[in-house]
Amino acid sequence: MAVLSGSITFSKFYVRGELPEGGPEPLVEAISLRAFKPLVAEEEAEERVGWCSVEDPLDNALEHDKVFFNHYINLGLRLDRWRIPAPLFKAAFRQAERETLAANGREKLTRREKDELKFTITRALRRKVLPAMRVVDLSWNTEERVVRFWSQSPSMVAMMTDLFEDTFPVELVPDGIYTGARERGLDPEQLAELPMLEPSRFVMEA
Amino acid sequence: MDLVETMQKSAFLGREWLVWLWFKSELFEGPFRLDPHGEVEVWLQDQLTLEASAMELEQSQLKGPAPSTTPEAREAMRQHKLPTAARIGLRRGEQEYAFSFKADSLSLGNVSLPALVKEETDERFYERMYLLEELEVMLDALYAEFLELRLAPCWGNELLCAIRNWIYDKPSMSVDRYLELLGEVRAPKKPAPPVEDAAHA
Repeated sequence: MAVLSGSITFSKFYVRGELPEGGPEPLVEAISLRAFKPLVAEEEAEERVGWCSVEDPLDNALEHDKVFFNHYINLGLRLDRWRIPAPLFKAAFRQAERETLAANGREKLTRREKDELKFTITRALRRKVLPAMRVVDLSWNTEERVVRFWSQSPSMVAMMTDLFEDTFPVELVPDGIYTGARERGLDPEQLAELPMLEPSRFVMEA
Repeated sequence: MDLVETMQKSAFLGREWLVWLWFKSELFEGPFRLDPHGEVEVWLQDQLTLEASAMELEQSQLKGPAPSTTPEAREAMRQHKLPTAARIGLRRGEQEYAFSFKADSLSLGNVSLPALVKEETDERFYERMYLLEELEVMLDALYAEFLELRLAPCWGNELLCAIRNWIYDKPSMSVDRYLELLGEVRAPKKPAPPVEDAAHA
């Protein structure tokens, strides 16, 4: 819940493009379409990402009051991943392999049989464990057209950018030297000169 | 040049911004005027990382009460290392901030805000965002000042020499001269004189 309290470490983006007309309701609908859906053991998916409430990661019923804080849109990006501990999987697999071999009076499984057994064991263990959950907050100042995402991890930033741009018909441009200069009001002439600059020599040559 | 290429080409400027900020903080040794925010004070705190260029991949990580004031910090710059990350303090009036700053991405981390007074969750959120955005606005003004100077002739003609002297612990520049240069850069440009018509020359 970093938007509301706790440590402040974030990546900053500028929003490019126009939002659909119709006020907040189209935005709430778009968010609901990309709300987080829990992983199910029988599905193929190893992981899933979606939006959740910034106040409760288990709440994915994202109505207006849970998302809009005046002109801010606050969301949690929730990522669930199946993580079966390797020793647990190995132990379960060996036991199942022994039982299968004993039941069939054989000494060895074929590669295909092993793959099928791995699939079965994975599904069985997924019914017994909970997926690992990770939540990172996002705050969108819709007046300033700035998004702050409470992570600087490249993989999380990439995931968030994909989800955000799937949800809303806009583009996120990361803050940085050049985009920062453009956003901070450098005039076009100065902006054109910026990429032409060469690094300064701070060290006196002998 | 597309946007990605432009961004990559300009990336070194973040490190130069940090050099300039470090230089300015030691030049003024206290509050200075930052329009339109009034008097602010900036100082480097307890963590400073300097790196050589990508080819050399050498890094100096300095920690302590004031690593930027140590001989090791200056020596690192003399070895062609520039600051890539620093913990920075910023004060305006009674409000004091601290944050970790990464020069290559201009990103902020572990931001410490002035003490919050609101208690309700929603009100605390608005207060947090207000203070964070105030910090960013002040950093924007500092970045704008750096870019104005960096793009002006005085950078190559005078400021760079002053920063070099500072790196080598030599007399660099007075506060008054710095403010004069800034004033000159910000002065409205005089219109170019009219070109004489050749027929009437």
